[in-house]
Amino acid sequence: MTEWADVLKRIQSGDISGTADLLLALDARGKKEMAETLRGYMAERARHGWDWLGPRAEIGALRLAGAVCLGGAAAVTSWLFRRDLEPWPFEQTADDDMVRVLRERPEPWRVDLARRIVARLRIPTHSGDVSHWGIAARLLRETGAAPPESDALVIGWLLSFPWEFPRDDMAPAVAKDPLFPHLAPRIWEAEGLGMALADFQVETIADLVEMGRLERGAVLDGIVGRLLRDGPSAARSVTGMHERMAPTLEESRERATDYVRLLPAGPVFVAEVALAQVRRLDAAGLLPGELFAEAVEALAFRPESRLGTTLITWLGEVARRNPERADAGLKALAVLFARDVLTLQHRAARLALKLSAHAGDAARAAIAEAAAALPPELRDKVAAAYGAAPASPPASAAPLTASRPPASAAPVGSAEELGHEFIATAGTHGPEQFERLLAGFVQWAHRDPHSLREALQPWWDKDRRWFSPRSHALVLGDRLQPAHELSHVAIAFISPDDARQLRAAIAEAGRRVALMPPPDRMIHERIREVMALFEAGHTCPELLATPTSGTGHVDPDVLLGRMERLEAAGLAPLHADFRQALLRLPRSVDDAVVARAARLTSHAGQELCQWLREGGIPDPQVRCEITGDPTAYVNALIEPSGGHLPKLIDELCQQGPGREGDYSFSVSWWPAIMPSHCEVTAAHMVSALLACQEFTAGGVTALTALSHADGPVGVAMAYAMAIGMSHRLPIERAAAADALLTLAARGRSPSAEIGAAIASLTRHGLVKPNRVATVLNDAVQAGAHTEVWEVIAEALRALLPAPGDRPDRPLRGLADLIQAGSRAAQLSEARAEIPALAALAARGGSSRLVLEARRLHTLISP
Amino acid sequence: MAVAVQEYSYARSSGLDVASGRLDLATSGGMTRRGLVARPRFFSGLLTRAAPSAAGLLAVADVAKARYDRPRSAAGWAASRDPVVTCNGDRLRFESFSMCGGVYARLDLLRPALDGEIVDLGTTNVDVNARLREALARLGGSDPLHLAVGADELVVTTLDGAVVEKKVPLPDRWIRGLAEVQVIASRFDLRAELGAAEAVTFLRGLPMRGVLWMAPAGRTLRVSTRPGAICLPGPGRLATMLPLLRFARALRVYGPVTAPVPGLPTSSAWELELPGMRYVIMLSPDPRRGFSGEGAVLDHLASGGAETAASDAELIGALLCFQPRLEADELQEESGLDRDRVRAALTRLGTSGRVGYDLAEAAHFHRELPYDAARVASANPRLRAALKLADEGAVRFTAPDAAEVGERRVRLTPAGATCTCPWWVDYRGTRGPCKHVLAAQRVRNLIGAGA
Repeated sequence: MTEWADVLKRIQSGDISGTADLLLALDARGKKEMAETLRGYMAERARHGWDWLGPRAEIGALRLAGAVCLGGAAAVTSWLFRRDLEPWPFEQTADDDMVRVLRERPEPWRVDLARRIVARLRIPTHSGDVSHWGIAARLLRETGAAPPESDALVIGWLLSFPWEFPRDDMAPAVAKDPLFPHLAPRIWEAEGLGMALADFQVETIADLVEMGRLERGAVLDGIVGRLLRDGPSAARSVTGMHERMAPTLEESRERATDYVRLLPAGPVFVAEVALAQVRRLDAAGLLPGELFAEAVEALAFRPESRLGTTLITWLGEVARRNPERADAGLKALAVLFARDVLTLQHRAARLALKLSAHAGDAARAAIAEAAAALPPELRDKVAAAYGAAPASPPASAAPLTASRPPASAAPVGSAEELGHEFIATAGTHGPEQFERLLAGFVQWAHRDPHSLREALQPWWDKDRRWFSPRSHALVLGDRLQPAHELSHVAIAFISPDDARQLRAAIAEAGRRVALMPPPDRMIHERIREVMALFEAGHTCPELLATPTSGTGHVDPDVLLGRMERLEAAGLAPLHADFRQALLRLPRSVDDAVVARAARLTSHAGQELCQWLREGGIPDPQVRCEITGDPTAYVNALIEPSGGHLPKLIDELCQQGPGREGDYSFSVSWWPAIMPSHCEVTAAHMVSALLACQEFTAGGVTALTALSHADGPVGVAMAYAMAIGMSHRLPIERAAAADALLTLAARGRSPSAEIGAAIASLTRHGLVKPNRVATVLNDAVQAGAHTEVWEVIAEALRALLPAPGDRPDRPLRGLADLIQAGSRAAQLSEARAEIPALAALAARGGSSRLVLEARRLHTLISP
Repeated sequence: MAVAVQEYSYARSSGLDVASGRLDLATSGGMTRRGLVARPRFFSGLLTRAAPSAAGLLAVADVAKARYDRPRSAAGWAASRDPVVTCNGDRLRFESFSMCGGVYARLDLLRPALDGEIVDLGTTNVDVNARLREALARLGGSDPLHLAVGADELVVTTLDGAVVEKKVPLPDRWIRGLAEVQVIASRFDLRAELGAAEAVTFLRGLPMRGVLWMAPAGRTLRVSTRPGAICLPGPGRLATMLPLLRFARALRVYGPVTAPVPGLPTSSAWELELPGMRYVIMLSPDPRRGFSGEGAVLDHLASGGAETAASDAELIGALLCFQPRLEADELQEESGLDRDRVRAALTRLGTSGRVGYDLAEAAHFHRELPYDAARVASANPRLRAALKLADEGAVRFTAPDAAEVGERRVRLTPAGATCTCPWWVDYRGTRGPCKHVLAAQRVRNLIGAGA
């Protein structure tokens, strides 16, 4: 139709008034037809995929077109609220044009439309505008209808103040708004008020109150009621409104109970506002006694320490003015004694001592009882003034229990089970499952290749469609991903040709295996070995290195059995597999085992026998050095202790400086590689942990596994623990706490070394003492107080400035460390001499650092 | 997804007059001892400890309108579902379930807190409106408060036209979640108990987000990574407990005794002991998902013996009389069924919303949720999908305990079933059987029954 073509041209050019003129000229039937055409056009738009990103210029005109042509109010409402016609914020919404074209409709119809639109208004999620509010408001204003109840309408109205009313003369303009008498009373009950009260709105409401258009008492009641109702989710802007209203003393007095009831539960800014009013009333003598008692009790219970200090100041003033209120104040102070913040405890105790003359019996008893939680020197002073506290049971330490070592995984029962499990867990398994599956592959490829092939076939059929050697190779990169690379073993078994292509592609992509950390290289070698075995079409009855215990150890008898079977079949063991098996032997074996080993005849058998006889390799020497330039870094140096080491093992036992940025995706695989030499593993892990200290995949959980390993514990373990304890995330630090507890329970905790490590790392800015302190606190609570005390004592000796030095700026977080030390020292009843601590304690002042130092010094002095 | 619309009809709004100390809670229709009553009256008397009771009611109401999966969304502005009150004779229970379906809260007012006349036993909704919340927050001090749950009939007839009606949408998954909570809770055990001071420090020191594992450390709990620890998924969801801390006497933690699959989060329950009352919160295993998909109900519905369970449930259901504790021994005696069948029947009644589980008492209690939970249980989407698979003939048994369902392989071992679908890999059976396992089980039952 020519008409439609004209209309379409105007719509597409965004000519809103032109469209309006054209459409208004239609008669009723024409409009109905146009409505159908419009719907068709929208459907076509949707089919073209222009739902939300279509030509924006059309949107305004389309909305208008629908408003003119559609028949009922419900239809127009649905049209305006269509998702694909949604006007973006700050887009020209042509509200005025819309209202102009709607004027020709009868008034009841427009009222109905306004009501329907209001019913569909929604409060925005974040800040923003209430969409479609403009239309609703204009219709309501024009028709003068009473708006239905809608929070979104109120919020939209408030948000519109800066746009709809002149900025320099807002309050009178708002007062003249037809919506004002309906919406103003409901401001304080609308949900989402917090986001709508910006400066404009606050000032305008204040001006309206001054002008007398809003009743002051009602507004104050509304604000206070709103704060009460919201409770913990109160909005800051509402308190801002309250402050702007600046209630007079009389108004404050009327609402005294409400202010006191606001103190316990809300956010801290609400409590501060309420507290200011309560203090004001009290200063004027207008606060009744019970309310005062309730207020101080509520304040004392709040967690924020700045409110605690304000409370103490206030109580000091009150005590000077009205000594008879000292009782209630002392009960509140008793609550503060139990807080863990040393500065608060000191100030509260000082005030309590000052008020001791005015204390009643109940208050006296409360203070005396609560004093048990104070540090010793305060406790004595308080006891002198208030009477000795009833003997409190000494803080009992929790028994230290060793955590269970990780459970060992059972071998795979059948080829089908292997296939099932492999398919189900492809790519997501951890170290134990990896060993299990690898062993299963080798075993069942030998025993029952047919069923294994059948079991894996569905996976391969699906995977083959996407398999491309080149893309697989590119994805791998230079870091090992053992969970992922196990699938290469499966590919090698099912389709050796593809595996060969894969190997070639990896070589072509230039994967630099030499860049992998040595433990990763060991795993890599083992996987490649098995792949090569399958590619050549051979099989092997079983792997030697499969662990028999959760810590990664292989039982020597079991290993000998495996070797004997291999010898009987006349097969040589796989290279890397054999080396790994050697590394997994325990540190000492029975003579009977050695005798059995002596009966092995093959070359590998004899090597095994020698290994068993000598007790494995001599422990390599491990040192940790921190270098300063260019950036602080920890070098964990490993040197073999002499003797000839077999290949692969020698790589593990040697590490030089300068492996910056060494990280690995598979740190949790490492503890099981050398379970009898945990120091060497720790040395490898140091740089990986350091690199990942701020990242989510921190790898600290590997420390927990490492704590179950055997072997001498020394510097590297200490450094690894110190770095792990300073991880950003509490979950990772919890793993470090678990590791420390396990070490302590097994009696192997290198406490002094950990303390020294913490000190040197802190000096170079590589760990943060406050994070370490949280781990140490947890460990103390779980029962490892003796070990933690040794750690902290050593750390403090090295961290604190020596007595003769000029006091320099203290390191951040030191106070937390000293606090943890106090807890540990108290439980373990330790006595020690730390001159630097004595010097710190002798300093003047009452900063937290000095107070903590004094407390610790008092605790540990003999 | 079907969304029923729940209509509440109250004689008037609930109100609290702080000056005279009267709390009137309006009730809507529900089941009582005498049958269905339009506006029952349960209790009229004093609450001996007003401040903690008011704070507890506010906490329950806060959970009802909370939406923890999308904390910043404006959906909290939508109408929330009113809490459910049950009068069990010696206690009043107020229950609510969050909008996201992941948090269940209950406040039990026990005998020491109530001092008055129990008029009737039953379950209904109570009206909680903005005025009431404001007034509850205004309450404090130590004066007792007069509580009336439901109004005197005489009073009702003298009011003219002050009826409050609300219509709230009630999605099926919300009702299903409420039923799951009871089944999951019945498998919990007490895992830890903290004293008042430790509870305060512990709850205040929790981060807001993440899935935490807690292990006992001395007298409190610490974050740990050990298996077998207590799971706290989304600690921010315990925020409604914070205003109650000033009254707290102890904190008890309940959870499954052993994590079925170590490493996967589980749900847990946290109970705060207040003077004369208890406030308990149950959390779903992940803040972003509710209880409805946990499949505890399905474990039970699809198992063998489901047919007898239905009739057993009816039998036991007839013995229920709003008792605060359903003792298994008594039910065994009265019904003549054995222990396992009684337990299965109670689980079934839980899935249809007719019993709840009280962790502190370690027993079920009777209450009739005013929702049509039975219809919803049978319309479980996973069950429907499984039945569809079974009817289409997609299940092919290749061995006595292995089947192929579509392109997934299912194994039904006595220790538990396994499947190769990605959903199973992610959850490993902690959320009940997947639809393939259900389909295979059903076909096997049919074969077994037919043979």
